[in-house]
Amino acid sequence: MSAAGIAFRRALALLLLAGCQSAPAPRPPEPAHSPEPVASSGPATSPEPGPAAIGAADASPEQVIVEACQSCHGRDMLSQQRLTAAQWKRTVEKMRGWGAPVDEAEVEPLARHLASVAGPDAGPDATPSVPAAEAEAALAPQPDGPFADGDVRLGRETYDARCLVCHGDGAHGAKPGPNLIDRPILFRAAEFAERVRKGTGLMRASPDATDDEIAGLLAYLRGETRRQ
Amino acid sequence: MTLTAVLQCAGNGRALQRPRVPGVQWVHGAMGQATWTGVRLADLLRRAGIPPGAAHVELAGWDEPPMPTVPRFLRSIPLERALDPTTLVAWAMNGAPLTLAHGAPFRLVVPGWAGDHWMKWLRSVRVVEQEARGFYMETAYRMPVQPVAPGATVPAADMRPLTVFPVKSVVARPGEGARLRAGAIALAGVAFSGAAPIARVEVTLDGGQTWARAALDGPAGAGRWQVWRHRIAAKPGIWRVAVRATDAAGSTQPRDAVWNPSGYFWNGWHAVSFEVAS
Repeated sequence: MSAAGIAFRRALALLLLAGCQSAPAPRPPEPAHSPEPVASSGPATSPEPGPAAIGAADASPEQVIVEACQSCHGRDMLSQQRLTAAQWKRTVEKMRGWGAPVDEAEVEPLARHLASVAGPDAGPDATPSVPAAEAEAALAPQPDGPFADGDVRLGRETYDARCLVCHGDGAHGAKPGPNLIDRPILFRAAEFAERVRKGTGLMRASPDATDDEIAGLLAYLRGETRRQ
Repeated sequence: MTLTAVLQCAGNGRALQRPRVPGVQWVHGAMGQATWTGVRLADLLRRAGIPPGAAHVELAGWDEPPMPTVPRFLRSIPLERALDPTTLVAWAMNGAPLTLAHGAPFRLVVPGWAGDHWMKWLRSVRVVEQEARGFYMETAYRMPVQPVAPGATVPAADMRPLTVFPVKSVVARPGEGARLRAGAIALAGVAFSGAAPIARVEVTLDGGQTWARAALDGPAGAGRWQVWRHRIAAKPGIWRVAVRATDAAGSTQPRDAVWNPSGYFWNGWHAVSFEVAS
């Protein structure tokens, strides 16, 4: 899947940055399946990638991190590691096996870059600790407010127009958008709305999304069921 | 029924392994003790009926991986452990309904075993003949059968699933780098073992040459912690306290934990430095 994967990622990035919503969803090729560990750690948050650089033939490792890692991992998941280039390479290969859109040619530069910023000699990890109550509150359901009682049909249409290209059929996750089914954020409507309107990581902002569209999205996504 | 038990991530202390290994870089924070209320899994299984040949219980949660290409988190525990009277399907923690973060509405409680068995958002329980398959059984959460040299690559055939967490103690007070007044200083922390009750906790102030026995507070039991306390009369200067626990099965915390490729079950002596001002 390597070359096709990277081409897909680039094409998708261009598509998103161009704000094109009506293009048909490209079908990512099925990646080879090979096991690989890694825990996810919090929502992905990152600066927007520079539009000029996206789609360049040789993406910088930092771009690859934003595009390929931070859909699922917070930056702190990477920065807390203290691994050699060889260990990073194994980790990147594991993630590719799980579907991370990293081209084969990007593996070595990415591993070397990660070892230079999060290698064995990188010093103490600066990730702040989070109080337990805060971590728990970050997942707790919140009232729907203006996003209550959404229209499922409008939500489905909105999903198909704005979200499907990245998050896939039935919102089960594709490249690069993660699964949206049974996610705690579906019951944190205000946070969900902010994520949709402001974007995050590779996810394009949709500042024009109306309250009704967001309420509809919530109604639709809450009604979808997991894969068996 | 209600019981008290420590929930600890298998990777708690991973950041202290040398050489370093990949994974969430836990230091000491991936553990806690709570009171859990639920129904015995054994009662549920007996009511449902346990077919002949059954040997394992497969557990699945409601959480979905981020992408269809990422393996689902799936675990099994041996039937014997499922029928242990301390294994619960819990719905309350510390007297309140489980929160979503803690696995609401139901989670498994497996006292003495690492947290990967404590399935959150429990969706299905299946009695089966074989151990579950998949990444989280066949690759992750496995330890070398025999200790290996730090940094070694271990063949898959020489790995086994991890289960019971080893004896461990930590210093909670004073904190690292604390500045205290000279005089009586209270040292305290917790000690626990998945295998057996804590038999003793010892404190050293000279790097392990001499040890003093600490007092233990609270009920003793496998898989739950006791608070240890020890008072010293400290003169001004820099002090370094280390602690080690021994359980009733005779296991004692080693100075250095056994290194393993995924950094599980770190349980070396925990040492804390503090300054006593004049």
